[in-house]
Amino acid sequence: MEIVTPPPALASAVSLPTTDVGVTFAAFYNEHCIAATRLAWLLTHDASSCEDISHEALALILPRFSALDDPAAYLRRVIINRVAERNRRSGRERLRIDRVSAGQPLVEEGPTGGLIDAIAVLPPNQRTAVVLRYWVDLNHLQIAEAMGIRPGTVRSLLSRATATLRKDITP
Amino acid sequence: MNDLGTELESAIRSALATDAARAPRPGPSWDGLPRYATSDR
Repeated sequence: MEIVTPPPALASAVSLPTTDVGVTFAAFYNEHCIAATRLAWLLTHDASSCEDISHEALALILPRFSALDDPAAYLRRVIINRVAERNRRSGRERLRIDRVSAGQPLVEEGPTGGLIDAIAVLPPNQRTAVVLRYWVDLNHLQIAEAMGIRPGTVRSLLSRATATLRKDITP
Repeated sequence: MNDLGTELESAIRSALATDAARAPRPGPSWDGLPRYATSDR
């Protein structure tokens, strides 16, 4: 089993911040690290970088944890922004879509299903909205806040995405 | 929402859950103890 330890800067923190409700950052880290990595995975399908993105996002939260009303929402927003920055920098989004479109698996291990691939090749904003709606289970307003867009745009993104995906399950 | 919409939503949720489970699994918890996630999303 692959062992991934918290980044040294996190693990060596002497005094962990606490929110008003008394949740320590350590507890938050333990509860949300897996979900953060899975969110980054669903948005990138890059095993080598999704853990980096989630840990970077958690590290960014640490110094301001006490001041955050909703650390989990902030964490999601940071991850979404990091993924967008990464895609802009590397052009990997294009390579990823090309790979799926060519019928190549997203990952070496395990099969991919038709709908999984169909979601994976949605335009990034549509895919992000779908993941936040149907995996994280956020409502339209929460998705808008996470993505930094208007609720009306969220509805439009989801409408277009589901119209595309509907073709996948319609005989 | 009509039946097709409900079926589609269910299929999307199932596909995303399957896909998410393939993400690399982070290592030990903050304090090094075995981690039992209380939430996976």
